Formats: sequence, C-alpha cells, structure tokens
Amino acid sequence: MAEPLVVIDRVVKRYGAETVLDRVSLEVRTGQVMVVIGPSGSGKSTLLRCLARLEPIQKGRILIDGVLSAKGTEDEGPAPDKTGGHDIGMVFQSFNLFPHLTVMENITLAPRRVRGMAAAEAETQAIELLRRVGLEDKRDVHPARLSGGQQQRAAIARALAMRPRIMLFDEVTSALDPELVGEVLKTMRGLAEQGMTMLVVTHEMGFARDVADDVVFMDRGAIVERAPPDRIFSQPAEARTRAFLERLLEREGGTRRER
Amino acid sequence: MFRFEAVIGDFPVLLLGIPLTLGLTFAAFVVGTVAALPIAVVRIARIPVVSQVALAWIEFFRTTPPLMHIVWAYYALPVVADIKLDAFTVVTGALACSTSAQMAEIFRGGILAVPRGQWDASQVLGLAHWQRLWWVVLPQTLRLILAPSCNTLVSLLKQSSLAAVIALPEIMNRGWILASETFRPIEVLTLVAFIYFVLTWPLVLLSAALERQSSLAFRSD
Ligand SMILES: Nc1ncnc2c1ncn2[C@@H]1O[C@H](COP(=O)(O)OP(=O)(O)O)[C@@H](O)[C@H]1O
Ligand SMILES: [Mg+2]
Repeated sequence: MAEPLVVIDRVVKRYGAETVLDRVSLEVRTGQVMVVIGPSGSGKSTLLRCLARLEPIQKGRILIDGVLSAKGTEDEGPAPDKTGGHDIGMVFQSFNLFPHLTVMENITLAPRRVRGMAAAEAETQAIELLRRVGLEDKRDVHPARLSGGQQQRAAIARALAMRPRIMLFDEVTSALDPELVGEVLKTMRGLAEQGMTMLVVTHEMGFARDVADDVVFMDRGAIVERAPPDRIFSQPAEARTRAFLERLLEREGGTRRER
Repeated sequence: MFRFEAVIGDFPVLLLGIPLTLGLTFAAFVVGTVAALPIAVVRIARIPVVSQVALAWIEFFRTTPPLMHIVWAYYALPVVADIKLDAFTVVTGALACSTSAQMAEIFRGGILAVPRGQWDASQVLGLAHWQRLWWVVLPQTLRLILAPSCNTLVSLLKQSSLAAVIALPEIMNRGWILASETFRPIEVLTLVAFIYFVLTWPLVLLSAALERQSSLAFRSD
C-alpha cells in the first residue's frame, strides 16, 4: 500500500507542565475521512493545531506525504523545511473570517499574497469555490451580513482556495444554530465525496457514521481507540469509549435528527 | 473690571498664530504616529534587546514632560553636543517623541484586541508574519484605535502651546507678547483659550462619534 499522506508519530505536546498530547500516533491515507471524538479538554483541538503548524510540538514528528512537517523541539535532527507549503487547510469553530474584507476578498487574499496569483485568476477560482459551497450570490458581502452557516461555508471556500491536500475541521458546527448545521455538513460531505483527505473533530454522530472511514476516540491527550464507525458505535473495544458514547447519546437524546 | 474692548482689536494678531499651531500639531502627529507603529510591533514581538529598547523609549516619553524635552533640546543640545536645531524642529521633534510613545501604546492595545483566531486563520492560509499583520490585523486595529488617536491629537494640539517657551510665534506665544504689551493678561489669555476651544472642539466631537461607531458597528466574527 502507498505511504500514508499524514503520519503523526509519537507526538508530545505540553503547555507548561501539562501534557496535552502524550505520544500520539496516527496515520491518515489519501482520501480518508477521519473523525476525531472525545471529551472536552482531551486534546482534539491541540492535535489539529499541531498538524496545522499553529503550535510547536515538544517531541515526535509529523510527516505530510513523506516530508517532515513538524519535529519535536526537544528532539535532535534537522528542522523541517518551513517553505514546505500550504498543503493543509483548516476551518475553525469560530469561523475566523476576516471581518474587514468581503467574502470574495477573504477567499482571494491568500492566493494573491502567498501564491502571487493574478487578481482575475484568483477571482475566477473564488467564484467557482463559492458555487461549490452555494454562496455565489454573496461574493461582495461582508461576513457580518452572513448567517453562521454561510460564514462557515465561506470559511471552507477560503481554505480550499489554497488547494490544500488535507482539510482540518475543528468542531465547525458547534457554534451554529441547529437549523444551520445541515448546510455545513452537506458541504463537508461533498468535499469527502470528491476525495478530500479530512480530519474532522465533531460531535455529529450522523456525519461520523455516514462519512468517516475511521473514528478516533481521544481521552486525556491519548488515542484510546480507532475503528470504522459501525464498529466503534456498536461494539467499542474500550470501556472509556463506550462510556463516552453513552453519555453523548444521552445528551443528544430527543433532539437527535438524521442528517 | 474686564475690558475686552481694549484687546479685541488685536485679535487678528492671535489668529495669525493658527497656521503655526496647526502645522506643529500636524507634523508632530504624523511623525509620531508613523514612528509609533514599528515601536508597537517591536514591543509586542518580544525580540531580545530591541523590545526592551522600545519599551524604554515608551516609558521615558510617557513619564517625562514634553516641556523638559523642548528646553533640553533647544538649550542644552547646542552646548552638550554642538547640535543646533531651529525652534520648529525642536518642538515638532519633542512632541513627536511623546506622541510616538502614546500612539505606540494605543497601537499595541489595538493589535492585541484583534482576536487570536484572526492570526491563526491567516497563518494556516500561509501568510507570512508581516502579511498577517499588514493585511489582516492592522486594518482591524485601525478601526479600533480611531477614537483614542483622535484624543491624542486633541491633547497634542494643546501641547503645541509649549512652543511659546522658545519664542515660536504660534497662538500662545502671540498671546503672551500681546498680554505684556497691553497689560491685559486675563482678557488676552481668555481669547487664546477661546481659539484653542474652537480648534479642538470639532476633534472632540469627532472622537466621541468614532467611539460610538466602533462600539456599535464593528465586531469581528
Ligand atoms: N494555549 C493553551 N495554553 C495552555 N493550555 C492549553 C492551551 N490550549 C489548550 N490547553 C489545554 O490543553 C488541553 C486540551 O485542550 P484542547 O486541545 O482544546 O481540547 P479539546 O479540543 O479536546 O476540547 C486542555 O486541558 C486545555 O486546557
Ligand atoms: Mg476543541
């Protein structure tokens, strides 16, 4: 089999004395959709942020397509090549669109300033992306004028504009009104169908069941279990996983919708 | 007891000082603000030595009176270092220095007020540090600092009256001279105050309007 697109190898991440990621290892193949679940504070966001190079790691290494992307600051060896590229896109719970720019400008900023793409070309690409996320009529609007679901779809389009090979989603529907969750999940499903490699932190179990190739359960900075969704939901191998899923289903209780 | 009619004929003499007052204010504000941005950026960046120098600069000019800087630069610099500067340059320079310290702190507050998610999102998109600052953070900072910058401009306009001590014929200096010539200091200085009021009042209104606007309209995500 081909080498995994993402290799996370015994990564240790600490904030001060607190170990937030404790020798986490994970591999993701091209085109795979990996859903990460786990209780609050278990290190899910931190894992994505380390992958996106937003946080340095203390030990271990991260490889993207066989190329060193991050390396423990406490480890020996050569530092990763910083010019490595923009192979990772990330979407955040709080959207983080640039409020002073229109939707179009949000999407074209990085292609123009980082890739040096001509304005016309960047806009052509942006229009195509806006069509993909269903916002073609919002190109000249500022983010504050959009609903949460529209903002999040614009944020997805912005990330895609750099043509990443891996997309990271950190609880991207958690800040949304319930009726707006579906439109964002639909956009993500579309991406998955087109073969995008995705790491998705979410509590949307319907999405995990339908779209994920594998579900990873994290607890206290470690990966407890990794399995295909049907197996992890019906017969989790670990007691901690089962306890977490039971609590989750209980909480969702009557409000569960099929998505 | 007050006899404004005795000095009102000389009112135009005071008005002739307005261009110089505005010129000093404007020059000091532009120079000070342009200098403030790199000082603030360096101060935030925590670069060894350089950040400390920026901090020392800010603290020095925030804690010492501009009158001292003016007097020192005008009277001591020629003796100590054989540097002779004209009065306009001395006042502009001294006021620009304190403005740079004040504006640097305003910039710093404005930069730090931009949510961390804005830095994160632009970093993952591949923007270099200075690009994140220039294209994403500073435009948002500017809207946040318009009102406090306007306040700085107001106090600067009043502080430009310090130029009177080294005989630059701006409004205050003309007032002093007129007061001693007419022996009517109270009346003359009241007129002087009136001119400053007319010049600063629109800025005060503008500042209040900006404050209202930025607290209402502009919210990030
Ligand atoms: N910037 C930070 N500084 C210090 N501690 C942090 C920081 N970010 C996260 N943590 C800590 O790391 C742990 C994991 O956080 P996080 O990755 O956000 O968890 P999750 O996303 O699974 O809820 C938490 O205990 C949190 O308090
Ligand atoms: Mg989180």
